[in-house]
Amino acid sequence: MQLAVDPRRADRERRYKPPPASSAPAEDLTTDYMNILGMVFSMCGLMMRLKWCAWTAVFCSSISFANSRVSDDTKQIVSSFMLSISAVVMSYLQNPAPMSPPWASLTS
Amino acid sequence: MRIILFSIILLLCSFYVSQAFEDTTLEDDDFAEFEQFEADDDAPGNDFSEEDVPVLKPKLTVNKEQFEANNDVDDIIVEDEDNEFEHFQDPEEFEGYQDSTPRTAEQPKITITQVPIMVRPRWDAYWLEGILCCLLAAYALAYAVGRAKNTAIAINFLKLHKPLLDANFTLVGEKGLDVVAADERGWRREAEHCFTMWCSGRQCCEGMLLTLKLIKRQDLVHVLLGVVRPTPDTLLIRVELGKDDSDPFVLCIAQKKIATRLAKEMQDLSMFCPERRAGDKHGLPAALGVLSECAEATAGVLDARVTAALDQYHRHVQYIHISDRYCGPKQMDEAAASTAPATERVLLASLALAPGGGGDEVRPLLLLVFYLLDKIKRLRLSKEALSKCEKRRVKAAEAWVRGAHAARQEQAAQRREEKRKQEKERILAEDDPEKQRRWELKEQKRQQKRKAPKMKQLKVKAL
Repeated sequence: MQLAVDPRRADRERRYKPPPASSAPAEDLTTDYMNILGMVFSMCGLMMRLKWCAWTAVFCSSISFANSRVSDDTKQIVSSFMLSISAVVMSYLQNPAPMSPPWASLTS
Repeated sequence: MRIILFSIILLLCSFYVSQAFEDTTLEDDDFAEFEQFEADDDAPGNDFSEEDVPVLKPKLTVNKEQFEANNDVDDIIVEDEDNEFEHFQDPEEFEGYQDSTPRTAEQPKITITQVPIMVRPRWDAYWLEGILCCLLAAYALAYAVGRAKNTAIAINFLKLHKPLLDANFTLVGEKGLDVVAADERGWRREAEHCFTMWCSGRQCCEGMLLTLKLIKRQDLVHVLLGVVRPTPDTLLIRVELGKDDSDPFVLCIAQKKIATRLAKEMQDLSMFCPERRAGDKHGLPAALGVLSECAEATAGVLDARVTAALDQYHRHVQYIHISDRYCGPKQMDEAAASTAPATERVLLASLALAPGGGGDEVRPLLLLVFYLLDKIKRLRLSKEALSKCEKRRVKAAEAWVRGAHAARQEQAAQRREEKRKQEKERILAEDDPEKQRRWELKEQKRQQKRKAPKMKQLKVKAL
């Protein structure tokens, strides 16, 4: 299957045009889902002072950041991070007691 | 840049958390004022202790004297704080009480146990937080390592296959700051696991977009999921064909499962290729399925060289989709369904790369794609096959137009109904009963006219 003649044609050179959104392959929505989950957990952590919610929000933000595209809005990711971290900080400032594991309530 | 941003955020996080722990001393001081209240609260508890009893006793005696004085002088009303408890001193209130309960001189002795003062929890109590911080650190480490590995795979791909691409296209890759490249031109980074490269300047096509979709090695969660359900690195090839670069036909060669999925999802395949045939009927491995609109085109494309290549590398070929009416997946939106989507002539190929980002199998498959491009350009359908294909396209276009017309009619009927409702509401809101009666009559007439069978008037000439 080797090529015999030179197939290059400089006159057929075209600039890159992104394919239309309808024909593009299914977009990866992990970033958006994790962003929303992170926000929800952050708010739960802040309002209800649930430490595990705040920690989950930090992990959601991390996953959202790792899966984000270069074209995605950086501000949104940063704000999600800041919100989740502030949820952790606030929950420990209000109650510095260590977090109890979920099985602690079952055993006691 | 992202690593720096991520590490700064992590640092900030750890700083805040450590600050939070250090501030517990301040917290203790903050609660000091509450301790004062607690001390006050404790005081009534000590009323029963022996020390405080003598303090109260004189008060009681004073009250008794006052009470006696009040008995003597009835006219004078003495406003005293303890007046409300005066009835306790009234002997008539407690008739026979003192007789039943003998008074003891000794007060009940209450012993208060020493409660240990609450000390700050020790660091080892925060073991769960420690584990979570370790997990975060592991995630950050996996991010850095995975990102570096994906970048290395992309660069390795360029080192191995850029000469072949350079031999086929005058323009390969992009220049710029955020470009992953071994030399000047290379991949454009879309995400940490997704790289694209545009190649153009070749006969038989307008351009070729290579998309290297790697495993999300930067995401530890995906890496762990990959252990349970492994997915390969894939190379998506999208070749845009020119107007004269192919005859009108739709053909798809895919792995059986993928072929079933594509037949359901893709607009052009579901419209033009209702039949799915096994690969062995076309001299291909049984693992492959063929969706074809035109048997002549299938026979023309799947010649001996193509079948031999597919036979050898069929494990790496997920699908090869050639279409002159490609418009992506089916549109679920009703508004979009009423208008015909924009179509394009494309050759799409999805190749599953070997573990580690591909090796020797990529070059022959890229050569297969270039061979297919030349083959499609040369392939000319017979007049009969061509007219059949054209007829199908005309039918499809008519179906779109009919669908659009029906949708427009439905929308118009909805608008009419809404307008009528609004008018009815307006009439009912008015106070004039005559107007309402007239409107009702008009409406009744209209309804009767609608229900009546439609008759055609025929003019009969009198003889």
